[in-house]
This record gives sequence, structure tokens and C-alpha cells, in this order.
Amino acid sequence: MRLRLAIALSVTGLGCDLVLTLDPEPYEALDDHERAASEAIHTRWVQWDSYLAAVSGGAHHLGPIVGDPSRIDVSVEDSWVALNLGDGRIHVSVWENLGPAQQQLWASWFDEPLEAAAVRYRTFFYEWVALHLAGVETVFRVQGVEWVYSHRHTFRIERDAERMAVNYATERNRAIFDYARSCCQVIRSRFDARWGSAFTMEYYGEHLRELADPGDLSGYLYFLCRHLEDAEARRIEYGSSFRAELEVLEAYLTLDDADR
Amino acid sequence: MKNVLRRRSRPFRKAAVLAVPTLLLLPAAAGGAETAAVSLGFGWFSPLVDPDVSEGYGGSATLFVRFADWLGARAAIDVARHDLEGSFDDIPYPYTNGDIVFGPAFEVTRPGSPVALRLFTETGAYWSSYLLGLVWTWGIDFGSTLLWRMTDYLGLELGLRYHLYNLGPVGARELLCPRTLRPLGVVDRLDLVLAVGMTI
Repeated sequence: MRLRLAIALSVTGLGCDLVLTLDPEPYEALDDHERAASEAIHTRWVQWDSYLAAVSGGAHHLGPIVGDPSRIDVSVEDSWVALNLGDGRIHVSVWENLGPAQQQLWASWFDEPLEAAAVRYRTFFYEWVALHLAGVETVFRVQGVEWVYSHRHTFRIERDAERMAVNYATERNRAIFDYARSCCQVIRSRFDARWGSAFTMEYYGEHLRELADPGDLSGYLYFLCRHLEDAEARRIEYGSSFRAELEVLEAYLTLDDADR
Repeated sequence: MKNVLRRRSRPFRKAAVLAVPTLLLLPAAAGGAETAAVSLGFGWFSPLVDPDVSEGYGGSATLFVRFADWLGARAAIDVARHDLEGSFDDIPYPYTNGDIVFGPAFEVTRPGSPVALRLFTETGAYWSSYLLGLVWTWGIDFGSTLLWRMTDYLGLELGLRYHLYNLGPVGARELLCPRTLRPLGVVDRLDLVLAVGMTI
């Protein structure tokens, strides 16, 4: 033991400060675009947190991200991401940090100039995707991060998060739901031929890295939009609500086969 | 950290208590230096400074081929596992990593002596598997082994190696920090491995 520690300390002492995880960019270091995005996302999360607490009688909250906007990471550059790993931090790419090819790709789906595409992107990502990530966080908060990773498939987590987001938005902010849905109709029409028949848990699991490629997020967004449409159909067919979907999340913890 | 070391060292110690007396019962070495040997080991693998990745343990398989009294070559495959800590504490995916490396080895002790000290350096492909996927990078290592030739065909080897990896990409994927999604710089690892060596 002493030998190992002595070796470790002596080699460490040589100046090996080489780490696998980095400190995130502090909020003060963000530029104006990043701060604006962070604030927009944070506002959505605060509103969601307040509604979640009210609906659950104070049993559930979104956790530390609500109290600490620096946990909203918007400073990733050249990578197109929308990610919540359950580590009390979310990652959303801002328009200005996308590469030119990524901006052009987004604009091409809607056949609009970059200026209009930028406005659409900001609304879709800082409003709708922010709500989706709050939905993911709700799944983690209600079911527990470790339990979710051990029992739930990523496809199901995304599906349940989108159900929460659709119900939240239709109850609290119908305009943003309608806007996201109209964007999603375009995205779905662009990629139905490519991924229409692949919208399955198995395909998602086997192709996650390709679908969520930070160079081209098309696949992830297509699946998100399919989840949105399915969630809306479910909401109408079963008359579901934010509260009902929250109870479904809680009920998963009691099921023998939780991956449904 | 103390608890982790204590917990992980228990099976290691038990194995050593069983293995060493067994080896001592075998006939003594005749003094010949092996031309080729394989060794299989288990030990402590650790990123040296990291707030989110714990010390770990792993295994190692090494082939040594001798070209001259003082010169040989090594090829090694290593696998290690580290739990995630800090903000990743709840996420039950470990950080696993390893390497496939080869390079020259220099024997600095007298040929055929009961104890052989070798210095070596290696290079090869290093893999890292974690939350964000499987990533291959290029790396180097250097270190030394202390071999106790217990018989003509069996020895006990203690190896210490220092690795630097993520020196360059192997394939399209980059090694990203799971906390910030930023590309990582050079990563290091220290291994201390006890191995059983067999002459072939």
C-alpha cells in the first residue's frame, strides 16, 4: 500500500495533471449569445420545475440545474448536441457555435435563409428542446439516475421525456408546442424515407452514435419529432396529462419489466 | 481513496498468499535466460489526477521475446476498469480502458540471474469505453519489470508502467470529456501489476 501510494504521489508530483474530465466553462465566461441561450433555457426549466413541484405536491423537483444556470452548458463549439446524461448538467448547442455546414443543413430543411433559420433554431432548441431535456431530467429525478440506466432503454427515456414535454406544453404553453410541431412536421417529411421504418427501440439502440452524431444531429431530431407526434396522439387518444404521465413514471418503479 | 484501495487489495492479497508458497515449492531456476515468455497479471491501474474517475483494477497479458542477452521486444494487452465518481456517481457505467502495445525491452541485469530487471518503452492503440462510446487513440508507455525466475519455466514479475494516451486519434471519434463534451488532451495512467511469467 505504501509503495503504491508513494509511486502514485511521486509520479503525480512530477506534474501529471492529465484528466479525463474537464471543468465546465463558468457562466461569467460565456459570450452574449451563449448567455441569452442559457437564460432562455433556464427560464423554461424554472417554469417546469415550479409546475412539476405543484403537480407532484412538492415530491419532485428538477434538482440543481434550476438553482445553478452554469450547469446549462451552451459553450460546446462545432458539435451539435442536445444531451442530458443525468449528471446534473445539460448540453445544448447554440446557433452561433455550430459550424457553417451544420447551420446550412438546418436552414436547408426549411428552405429558408440563414437569418430566418437562426431564429427558428433558437426557438426550437432554447424553448422546445429545453423542455424535452427537462422531461429527461424529470425521468431521472422520479426514477433515479442509477435505476434508469439499469432498467430503461434510451429510446424509452426519450419517449417518456417527450410525453412529459408534450403534456407540459399543451397545458402551459400551447404556442411553443404548436411551433415545435410545425418544425417537426418539416423534419419528419425530410427524413421519413430514410428513417421512417427504423423508428424502433432496437434500431435506436444499435445506431445511437450515428443518430446522435454531433456533426449532424438529423437522426436524433427525426426520432425526437416522431416521439412528439406519438406523444400528442397518445395525449388525445387517452386524454393523458402531465400529472398522469408523472404517475406513469412513478409506476414504472413497481413493474417487474420496467422497460416498456 | 483509502477505502477503495483496501477493498480492492483484499482479493489481490489473498491470491498472492496462495501463489507465492506454491511457486516456492517448484524446482529452482537453472540460470538460463528465456528466449520467449508470456506473463499474465492483475493489478492496480489508475488515472493519476481526476475528480471523476476512480482508481481501478485490471489485467495484463504480455509476450516477451529475446533477441540478445540485453535486448528483447514486448507486446502487451491491458484491460482496466474504473468507476465514475463525483457528478457521475449515480451513473452505473464504468470507465473501462486498455491498450494493445509493443516495443523494445532492455535487460539491465546479468543474463540468467535469478532476478532480472528490464526497462521498456511501448507504443500502440489505446481504447476508452465510457458513457459517450468507444474511442481508440494512440499512446505510449514506459516502465520496468522486476522478474524473479523461480524455475526454468516459471517466474514472478512485478511491473510498473506509466502511460500517456490520447496523443492522436485512431479512427474518426474523439475522446470527449463527459462533463463538458470538450475534446480531451493527453491522458495518463499508472499501472502496478503482479504477473506470473511462463517460458515458452
